[in-house]
Amino acid sequence: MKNFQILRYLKKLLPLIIVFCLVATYAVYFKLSGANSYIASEVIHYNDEQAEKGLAPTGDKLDVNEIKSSAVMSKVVDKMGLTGIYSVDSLISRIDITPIEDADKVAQKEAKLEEGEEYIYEPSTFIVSFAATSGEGPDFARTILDETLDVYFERFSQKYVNVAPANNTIENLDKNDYDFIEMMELIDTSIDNTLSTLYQRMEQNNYYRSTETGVSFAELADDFNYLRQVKVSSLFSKIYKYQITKDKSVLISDYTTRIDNNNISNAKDASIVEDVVTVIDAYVKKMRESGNTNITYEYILDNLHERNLQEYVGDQTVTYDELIYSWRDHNESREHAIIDSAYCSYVINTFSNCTGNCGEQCKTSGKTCTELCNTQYAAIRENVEKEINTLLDELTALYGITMKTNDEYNKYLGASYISVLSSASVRESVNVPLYTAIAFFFLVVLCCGGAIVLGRAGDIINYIFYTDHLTGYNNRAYLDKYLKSKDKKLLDDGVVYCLVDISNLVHINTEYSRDVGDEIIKMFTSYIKETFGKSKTEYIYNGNGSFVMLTEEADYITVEDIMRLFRLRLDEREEHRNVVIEYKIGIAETFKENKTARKLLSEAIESKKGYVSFLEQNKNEQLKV
Amino acid sequence: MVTALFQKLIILIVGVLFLTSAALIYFRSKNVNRAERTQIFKTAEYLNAWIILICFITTMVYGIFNHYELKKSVHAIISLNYSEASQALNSNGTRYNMAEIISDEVVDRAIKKGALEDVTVKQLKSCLVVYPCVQGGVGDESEYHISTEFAVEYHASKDTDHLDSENVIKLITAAYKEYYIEKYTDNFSLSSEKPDFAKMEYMDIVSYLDKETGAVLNYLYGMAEKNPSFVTENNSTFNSIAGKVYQFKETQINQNLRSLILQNGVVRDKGGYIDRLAYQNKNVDFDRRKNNASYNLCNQAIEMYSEEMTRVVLVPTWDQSGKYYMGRTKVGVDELSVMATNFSNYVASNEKEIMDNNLIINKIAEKTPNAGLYASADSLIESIYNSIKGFEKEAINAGREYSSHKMNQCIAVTIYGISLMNELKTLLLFAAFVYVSLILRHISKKFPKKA
Repeated sequence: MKNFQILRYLKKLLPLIIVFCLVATYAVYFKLSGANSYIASEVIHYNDEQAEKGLAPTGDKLDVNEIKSSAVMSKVVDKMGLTGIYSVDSLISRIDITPIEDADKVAQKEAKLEEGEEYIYEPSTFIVSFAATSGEGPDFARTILDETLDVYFERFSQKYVNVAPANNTIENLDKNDYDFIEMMELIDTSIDNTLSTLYQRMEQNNYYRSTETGVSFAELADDFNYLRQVKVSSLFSKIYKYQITKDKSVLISDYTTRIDNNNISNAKDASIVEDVVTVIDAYVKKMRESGNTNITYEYILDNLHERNLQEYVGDQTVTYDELIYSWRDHNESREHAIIDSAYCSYVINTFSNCTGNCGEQCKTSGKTCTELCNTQYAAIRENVEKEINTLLDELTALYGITMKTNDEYNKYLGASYISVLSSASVRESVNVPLYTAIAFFFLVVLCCGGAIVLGRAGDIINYIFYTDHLTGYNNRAYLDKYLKSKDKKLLDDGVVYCLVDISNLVHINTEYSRDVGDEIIKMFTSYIKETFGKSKTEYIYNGNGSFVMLTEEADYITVEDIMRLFRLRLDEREEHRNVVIEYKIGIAETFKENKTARKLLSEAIESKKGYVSFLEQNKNEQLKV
Repeated sequence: MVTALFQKLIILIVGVLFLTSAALIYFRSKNVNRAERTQIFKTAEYLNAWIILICFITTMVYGIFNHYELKKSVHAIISLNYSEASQALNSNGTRYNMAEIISDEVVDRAIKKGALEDVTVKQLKSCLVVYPCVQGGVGDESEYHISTEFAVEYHASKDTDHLDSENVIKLITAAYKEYYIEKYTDNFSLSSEKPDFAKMEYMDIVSYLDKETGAVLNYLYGMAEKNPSFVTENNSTFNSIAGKVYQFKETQINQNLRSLILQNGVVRDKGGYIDRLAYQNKNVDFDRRKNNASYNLCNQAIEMYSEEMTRVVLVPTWDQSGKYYMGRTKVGVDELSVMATNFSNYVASNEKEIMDNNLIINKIAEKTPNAGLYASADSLIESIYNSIKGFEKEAINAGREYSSHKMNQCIAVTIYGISLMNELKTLLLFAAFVYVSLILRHISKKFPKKA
């Protein structure tokens, strides 16, 4: 059997291996690219010191998962025009939030906890990621993440920082549902609330100016104040002066009910106030009796040293203060209700007042005195209605600017409370080039291994089926296979076929025994191989003492010389010198008309010449057969 | 699209030629032996004039189509130059969002700006891609990076094939720059239009002018807070302009104009205005009564606060060296005192407002101004209004100068068109491909069809 030579096996299948590996690697690349996803990630950090205690600026629990809440994501879907294309849930499921812990703080926390002390630490830095499929691409991942965080920043500020509303509460005011004075009260209350909010904003950041609207909260407050001072008061005074109402009876009943309600509320508050006073007295008495009012500061400090209290312990408002505040609040509520009732009485008086021009008809009529006797009443009322409409339009426009300014302020606060440590970066979930390279390497190794196994298996098969075990040469079956494979091919120039037949092998077997015959065959095998040396030759033993040598890159003369050498070697042999060996040699070389294997073999057979090797007479006789 | 089709067609033809020639050589090579094969390749005419000519013509034709195709793809780099950009913020402190570069609003603005025809926002947007020039990572803190440079790519589609690519990218970047400056840089909203003073009460005009001046002052103080030392080209600072405006407000509006109107009872609708002030007084009086009630209640609460209870509300605290001491902290009486003071202030403010209104009512009731006073008031109003407009302009100019100085033009844009070198490289590669294909074709003919 042939030696185990890896290179020989690989050399044969190398082109096939390369082609297969390239095709398979491309298939792997194609599959990986298809299954790959793009992950956009951004690192955000909550700047507020409360965040490390897991709290939002308002003191509520900080829930980072609000980033992927449906409220945020539905706004993102709307903003990006993805309604109907993507469901909110499908986008939420693709968002991932990973906390990044501060190693020092974690170690500190563990040390404190080991000592049995309480220590609160929550991560305040997070990686927010969004995964997009390969079809959606990296830009989609980045854009969704950007929009999500944009909306979240604004929402965070709205919910935890800039909590006071500045909404337009009169936007959908249905003028048919209210009397004029009620409508004006609603407008006035709305302006009052908005002004309170705006003053709060001014207190937080006096010089904040929206770049989109170009106004500050102070300017907005000035605008609201101006409208209130000029237009609202003008309308109020006209409504009072001309007793403008849709229905006097309803109006008076309404304000009378308000007075009644205030009276009930006052009675309730008076009762509470009495109770609170009783509790205060009892509380002080008990504290006095128990000696708590005589506690010295040394006692408190000693207690503190024992507890080693270092942290802020929260609101320490004492019960006594709460009781005092309660007394004050209920009294205030009572006093204010009395003044509100006075206001209601003023409204009732204003609208039921008789100017004397109607002959006191108004007292029994459902109409006001002015309505009954002032001929201009209808025109004045129409004018007031128009002015209210104009005022509402102006207020709506002003509220629009306020909302825009407030929205931008929310975004500004959001960005100041949450900072971006690393802007959106996109990476592939699978490193396609790396995995493709690994796949290529793996395939090459696999294919080479396969080629070696196949090659060696070929060697074994070759040895079993295509090798003559006596000579070690290829056998007849091999020659048949060789000829078949060359059937449709032309031989190259320089191919020489050489045949050597032992003509009297049967005679030798009979005369000297079969063993001698086999030894003679072996001797031929040895001499042929020796004389052909390093030439590019395939050796075939065709059976019955017939040898075929297929030599490439040679010529007729060279092979003829080799055969001459062979004959000399045979004649100088040391063994079986007593045996007369008759043999034939045929040589044929390719030429223009003779380029197929079968033809060349026939030519070699035809050109056979006979020789005798008879050493006892110490000479060689050449006989022509 | 036609150019792309022709370009692909040329590549296809040359590719087919290459493959058929290679296949022919492969199949016909069986009809010759190795020596003959070698001989064929050795004796082939590699510098055939016809081959070179055809190669040249094909490459030129391909080059023309390729040039048109390349012209359809351009890109620009947008750099953010202001200091807040390095914190991923817009210049107004809100979060920066790269996607806005190709937002609907910007694309729409670009279409209108360039008067682009037969293209919708959606179609144009689908041809645009934006991405950061350098992006960081999130694996480790050292990988963190805030992008401040962004690339915008435009690749024409069949819907936008008729547009000039370089023009489109220029329009998009210019529109974004405009959009950004409008939305994120310092802005001061000018009052929309001049109100009809003839229909306004004189005292209302005073309030209006006071409000307008207040807005200018507010803007200037805000800018001065950002950078108090900034000096404009006219050697003014925000504070110096604000001082000038404040002085003007005090003398011209609050003293001259207001005094002229008040002392002479200048009014358009005497009855109506007095009624309005009377209503305001009534309304303010209700507030005053409420504030007064609250003030009295706070005082009463302080009165009833037991002195024994103040002893135990010393609060333990610790000093800077970590030692405990008993700190005197705010207790109920403190809170109530502060509240009482506040309510007292509110009451005083309410009373002042009522007194001011009464003064105006009295003056209006007493006086009957002549036509000359009305003319003087109108003329002064006009003059003050014009001065305020002048201050507005001065403030805005100073603000813009500051923005320009601070933000270094805010955004810089660089447009990258077709690279001649890249085009040449493509042409050389294509020429080599054509030449190899033609030579293979030429050689394949030398192989015999039969053995």
